[in-house]
Amino acid sequence: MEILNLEIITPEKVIYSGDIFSVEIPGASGRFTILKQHAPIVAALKNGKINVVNEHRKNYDFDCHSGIIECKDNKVTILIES
Amino acid sequence: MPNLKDIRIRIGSVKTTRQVTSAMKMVSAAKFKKAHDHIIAIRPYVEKLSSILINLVSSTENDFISEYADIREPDKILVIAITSNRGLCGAFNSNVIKQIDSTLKSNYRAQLSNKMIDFIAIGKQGQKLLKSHGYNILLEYNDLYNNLTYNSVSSIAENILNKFVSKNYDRVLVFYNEFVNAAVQNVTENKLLPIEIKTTNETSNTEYIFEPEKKALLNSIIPKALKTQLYKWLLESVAAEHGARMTSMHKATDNATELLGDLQLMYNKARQTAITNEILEIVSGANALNS
Repeated sequence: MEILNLEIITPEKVIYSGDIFSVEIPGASGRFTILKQHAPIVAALKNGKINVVNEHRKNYDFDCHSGIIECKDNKVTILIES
Repeated sequence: MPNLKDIRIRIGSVKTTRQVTSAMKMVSAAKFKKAHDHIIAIRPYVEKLSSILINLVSSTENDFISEYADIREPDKILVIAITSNRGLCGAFNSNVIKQIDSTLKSNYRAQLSNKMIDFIAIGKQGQKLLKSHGYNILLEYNDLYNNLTYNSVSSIAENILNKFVSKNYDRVLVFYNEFVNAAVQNVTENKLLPIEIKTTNETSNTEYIFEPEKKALLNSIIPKALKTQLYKWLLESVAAEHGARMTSMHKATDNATELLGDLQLMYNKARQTAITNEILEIVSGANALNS
């Protein structure tokens, strides 16, 4: 079974790195959730909250002002400005 | 021959100087470590952002136009000089200004004589030098170093981007000390605007969903890339500054040690001469009494 991996990176440091169940993000044209086997996507993010659910179904919230998300081959990278 | 007291005083003063320079070297070494950590911390962000950008541009057809990539005749030029606020770091700052001087004189002679070149100084030392060369300094951001974060750089970068987009300037050049390693800095000239994005010929075989469509996405990514670029250059310059200060303070400490050795030798010689003279006087006095 493939696992979804997430990295949240700011210019100052990597603030989250690990395997997750899902991540919900504030896309520029609406909030959406990425689960595993998501199609490759590059999207802009707007102001809002990033909600991460990790493997053990624990919730983590991150603030986002603006950013970019890339998802490819079950590897999600979110670039946000701190 | 200088007298004993003078030499003793000089030895004392050289010793204190050596203490100061070696302390400054230690401080710079600690700050250098911190600055270097920042450079390492920004790397993943820069790499990912540029890979997304290259991917995006490569997959766009040839009609790629962004207001940040608009190549115009370079009539008005903005030069950003990144130097340091503090001195005592060897030729660190003057090298930047020298490079600016020679580049402008060889590549932008016409603009220089028409006074179409403005400067933004980041760093007091560079500002001073630019002023003494008679350049027109538009703005200075010397306080930036007190709080060098991505956000503070971002607002400055936005200011510069706006100047380019509103066609106040046709080209933005950045001069800074590139960080190679602790002992080596390289003065580098970089073009911030218009942005050049290297496209790879090999098209990646993943079909991305773009949201919003490519053009809007590009317009949100490119400013980010430019800001990150400027931030990275500033971090490099800071690390290079501490590296330069470390080297120059190390040299100063070595010189002081050498000078101290010479002075000590001179002191001993003077002391010996004084003793010899004294014995000579006693002996000749005793001889005079005997005869």
